[in-house]
Amino acid sequence: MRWMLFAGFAFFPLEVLSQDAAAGQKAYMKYQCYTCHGTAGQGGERGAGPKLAPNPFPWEGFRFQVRTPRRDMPPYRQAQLSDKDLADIYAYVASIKPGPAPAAIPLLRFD
Amino acid sequence: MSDDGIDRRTFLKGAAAIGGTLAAANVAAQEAKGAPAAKEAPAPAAKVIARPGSDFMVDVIKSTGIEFIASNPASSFRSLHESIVNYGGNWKPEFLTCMHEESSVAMAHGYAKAAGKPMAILAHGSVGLQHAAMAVYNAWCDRVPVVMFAGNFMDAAQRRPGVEWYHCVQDPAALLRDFVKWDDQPASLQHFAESTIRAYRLATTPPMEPVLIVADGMLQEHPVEDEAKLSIPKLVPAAAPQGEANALRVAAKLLAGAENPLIIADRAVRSQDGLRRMVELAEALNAPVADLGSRMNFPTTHYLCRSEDRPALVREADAILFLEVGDPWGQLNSISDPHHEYRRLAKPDVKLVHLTLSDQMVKANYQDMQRFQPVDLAIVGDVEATLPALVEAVKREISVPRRAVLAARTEQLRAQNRAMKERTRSLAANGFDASPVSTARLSAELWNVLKAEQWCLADSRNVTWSQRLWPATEHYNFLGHSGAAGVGQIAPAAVGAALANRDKGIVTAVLQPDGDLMYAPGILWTAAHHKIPILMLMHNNRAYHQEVMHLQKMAGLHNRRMDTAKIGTAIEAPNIDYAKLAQSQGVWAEGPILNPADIGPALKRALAVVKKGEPALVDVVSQGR
Repeated sequence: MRWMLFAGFAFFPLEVLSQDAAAGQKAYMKYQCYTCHGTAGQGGERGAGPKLAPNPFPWEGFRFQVRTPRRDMPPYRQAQLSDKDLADIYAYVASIKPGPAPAAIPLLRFD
Repeated sequence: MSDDGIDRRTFLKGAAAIGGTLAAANVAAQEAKGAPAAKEAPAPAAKVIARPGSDFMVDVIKSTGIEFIASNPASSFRSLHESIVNYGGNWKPEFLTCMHEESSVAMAHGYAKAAGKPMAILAHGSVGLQHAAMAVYNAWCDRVPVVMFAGNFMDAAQRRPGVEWYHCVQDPAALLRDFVKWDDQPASLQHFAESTIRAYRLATTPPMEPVLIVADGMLQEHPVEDEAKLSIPKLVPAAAPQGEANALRVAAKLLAGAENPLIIADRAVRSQDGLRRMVELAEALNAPVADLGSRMNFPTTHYLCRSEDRPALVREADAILFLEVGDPWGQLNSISDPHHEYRRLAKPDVKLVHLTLSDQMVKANYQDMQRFQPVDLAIVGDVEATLPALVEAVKREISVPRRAVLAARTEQLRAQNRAMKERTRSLAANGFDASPVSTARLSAELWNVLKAEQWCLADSRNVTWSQRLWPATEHYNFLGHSGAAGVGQIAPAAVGAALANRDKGIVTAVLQPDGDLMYAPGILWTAAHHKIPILMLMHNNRAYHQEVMHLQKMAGLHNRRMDTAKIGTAIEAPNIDYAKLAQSQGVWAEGPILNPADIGPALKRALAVVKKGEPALVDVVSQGR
């Protein structure tokens, strides 16, 4: 699956635009991004990572955080994670579609 | 922890055990004289001990009202075991068969939090307590009473050669003394009676903690010599210590005058009355409450419950009341991991009050006291016992005009509460249909079957969504966590809690981590054997997930491969089939479930089993966190 970004075009440099979301999903699993952020980018609890998807923050910020993270996240340097894999991972995260709104999920009605 | 060999089993068929010990001593003496032993030794079967010391020990234990005694059977307390079963009728206390001493203590830990009173455990003084140690430490850190008895043969001349020597120890409590409140090794039955009653009272007086009494083997097995000289002291609970009145007045004045007061509660209350007093205090101040969740401290349905907003509230607060908070420094500051970057969250001039008994129960070796946090006012007292006086002091400090000022905050506080809940629900909705199943989905599915019941979630820390999402109003709803995060506590503690709730009509559930269950999965058999109804929903992320993340941090720090973090941390290849594990021990079970849509129907079937009085397990393959 090739992922093409149309919406928000101005945020992304050329190298990101035609990256492979399917390859990115494999890289996301291989480099174990899911351990903190969840397989669907939903984020984790108890000090694990924040949600990444849907609507990840712009590519430059994403790349900056992965390479030189703030606070508790380990840095994924280029020697361990190539620019290509990182761009693919971003493509995967950006491809994750929003789920139903909380109000539309009966199981999330707690009152 | 049985050490019985062929000789023991053969012997027990024909003789009282004590007779054998004495006979063996006679044989040794006769052999030393060169006499033919077999002809002159008394026949073992002829000796009967109608009233062993262990019967009296049972009388003592019964006098405390202890209803259950959990144990893995062992020879150093064989006489006491037999007395519990036959002399005591196996009723109050009833003997619970556990498959690990750690399970016995953790079960007692969970039971005490749900029952509001301790149960007992029995263990070998040496190898049994070695197994039990981590669970005792959990109970210590969680400030929970457990009454422990350990078998031991102090008189070396009476010990059988071989294994019995390995299982005896000069000072059984030495191993645990850093994390029990008190211990004793009684030298007589009267001493046993007095020390057991003392131990029970110490354990149940705040700060509550585990205690240990050694039941000497010969004291158990020898006959009671002079019954008329024995007496069991009356057990009278001690009143819990209350904070000093003047200090409460100063605290009340400080809180009543604050513009942004905050209450942070950790191990604050233990009853519905305590919960009600917490509401009264918060409403009097109109102050938000951040419940750290070691106990059920505040109703999640109340508009002042703002646990999710704690960091923001700490930043804004000009006065904070800590109520038995284990780590006050950690509420005001943070240190990043792995770079140890320090960050202060709270205002530098925030006024701090801590009502706590932590200074009364501190020892040197283990570091559960956490980093020292200076406060403006430290009050020694039990929160639950002090709340009535504190509430009254606060009300006295609030004038009518001030009350109007505080009341004017209500609408904003309600709006902030609604916003917090909406944010949490939005987070829970992310990845709701994912497989592996999200932890938020696990929590929501469990709530869906529990919501029509009186319910108790035996561990409310390992997956926090429940505390964040579920409407909880009763003090027994959330039981907190293990205390020291010693892995292997959640499953047995949940079974202990379920035992306490069994006759109250409260359905006990647990979101059961896979790694935790595998420490001592025999607790499933204990639940099935003793018909303890518990609903276990597996949070099966197939890893020691916390450690996966630690490995990733270290690899990043060392600029090394990031894709190897599952080596040594994953629980896969092969995957463990928890349904089969449970079924093999007589527990109804289904799974593994990968499709989140299958969870609800499985949980309904499981709940039907639980409501019939039996345990049930549903295995779900879940996200890491």
